[in-house]
Amino acid sequence: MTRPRFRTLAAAELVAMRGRRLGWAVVLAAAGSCVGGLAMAALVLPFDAASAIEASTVVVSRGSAAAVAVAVLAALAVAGPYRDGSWMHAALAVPHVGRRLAAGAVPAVGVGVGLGAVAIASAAVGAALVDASALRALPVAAAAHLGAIAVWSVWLVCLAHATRSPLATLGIGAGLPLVAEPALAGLLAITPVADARWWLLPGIALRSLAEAPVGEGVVLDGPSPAQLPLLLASVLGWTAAAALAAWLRARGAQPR
Amino acid sequence: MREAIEVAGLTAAFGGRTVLDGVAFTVPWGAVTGFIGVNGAGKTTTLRRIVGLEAGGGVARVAGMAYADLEAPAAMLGCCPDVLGAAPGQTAAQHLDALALRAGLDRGAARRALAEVGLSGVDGRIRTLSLGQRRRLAIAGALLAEPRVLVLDEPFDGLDPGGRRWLSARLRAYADAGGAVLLSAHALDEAEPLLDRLVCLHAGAVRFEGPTEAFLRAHAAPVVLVRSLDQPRLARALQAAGAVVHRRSGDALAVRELDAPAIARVAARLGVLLTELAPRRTSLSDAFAAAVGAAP
Repeated sequence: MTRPRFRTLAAAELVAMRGRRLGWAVVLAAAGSCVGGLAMAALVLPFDAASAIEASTVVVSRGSAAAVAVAVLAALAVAGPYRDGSWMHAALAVPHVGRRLAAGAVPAVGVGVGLGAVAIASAAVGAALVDASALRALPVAAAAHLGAIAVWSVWLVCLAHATRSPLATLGIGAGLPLVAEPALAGLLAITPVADARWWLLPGIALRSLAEAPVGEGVVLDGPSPAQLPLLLASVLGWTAAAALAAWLRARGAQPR
Repeated sequence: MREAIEVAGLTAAFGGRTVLDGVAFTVPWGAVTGFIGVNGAGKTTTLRRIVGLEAGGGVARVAGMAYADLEAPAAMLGCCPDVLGAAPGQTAAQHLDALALRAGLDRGAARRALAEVGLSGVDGRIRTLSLGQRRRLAIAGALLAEPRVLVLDEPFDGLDPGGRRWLSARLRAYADAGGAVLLSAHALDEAEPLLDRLVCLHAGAVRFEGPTEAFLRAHAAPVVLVRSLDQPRLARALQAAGAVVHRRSGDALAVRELDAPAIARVAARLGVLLTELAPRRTSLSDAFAAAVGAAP
């Protein structure tokens, strides 16, 4: 018998997710993403002068439902095994920490990207209802948002491994970018994307990066091309920090 | 070929308390090695160190290699941890399917393992399984890839008498076929016939390593069970003659430090009629108690 291939290990992680009640989270997120895209279109449509700019806001209205679903998924499927002890079997079968973490991340990232695709498809339908010309922004917007949701999924998987707590994963993963960061920004009356210091915050950096490539005049207030390197460095830095935290925790003392 | 398991200089500390202090022993091929010790002696920590579930100082090798370096770990070593470690909402088949895939096996392996441990008809979720069924499922996980080494933490816990007989026979056949077994157990007298060798861990260090018979010889304290028509007088006389006397269930006296003829002479001098005088072979639990002291 030889070492199982990476693809097989990733498939095993997907099989190991069965029985963890993840289906309802995925279905709800998909439904929420569909409704989100169409609801944005419904908000814009009543305006008589609905133009490409308004329509583009529909295109970039990515699925917050998908982002929250990824947090739920990571909490249940990645942090959950630390609570019920099933993480041991993954560690016994794949002692190499990096290989194990990567194989475990594939299904979560895959589901996250899938949900992101549903959100983008829904937004495209909504944008077409407002102004079909806005769809020219769709390919770039879709690629940017799928990339963002993939990075977001990786962060949440790493967070789950680092905290080993479903509650902490859900609390930090959903609460920080969706509640804490916007609240802080609002409190200080600073527009997050206009001030580079705010890009050091992970949620804002990722959101800004996802909106950046859509193009001037199409989205509302994106960063300039000159500011992109800083934004990219912030996202890559947070990704590296999350991966390092997960790796160090997995190498150290294990939970009983 | 190198020993199945080699452990040297294992150290571990939790919360400032030393749990393992230079633990070293080997587990040979073709034998069942019992890993014994009082609660908190460090058995589970040691077993987890062998398979890389716990970090710390020292070296643990399986077939000459660190567990993490094995090409196909599941094919070399099957592990039955002290807890099942499964999502409560999964079925037994789903749990084993994931283990089989991770080990690079087909899903037929999961069905075969379930059948072997007598769970093939059980399709409820794991949260509904009994303690014994969970233990059988954990054993199925260890046997899944037909490994060459088995590391089992309290495998008999929760099993019914039939399950215990089945597991003993399975492990005996496994070792006779050349496999290596390291198992921890607390029901020592029940496990004794199965154990070819013993590693006795106490206070984080190996107190004994060798054949079970050698352990029994080293720590044997022959006991004679005595019944008479006047137990209190006889007990006092035996103690005066230098014996250590304990009352057992019923009216029996367990007498150490005096052999049967000497006890008979004391009784004759005293004029007490003996109704039973039975030298008893030292059990493994007696020898263990003599080796490490009785637990509170």
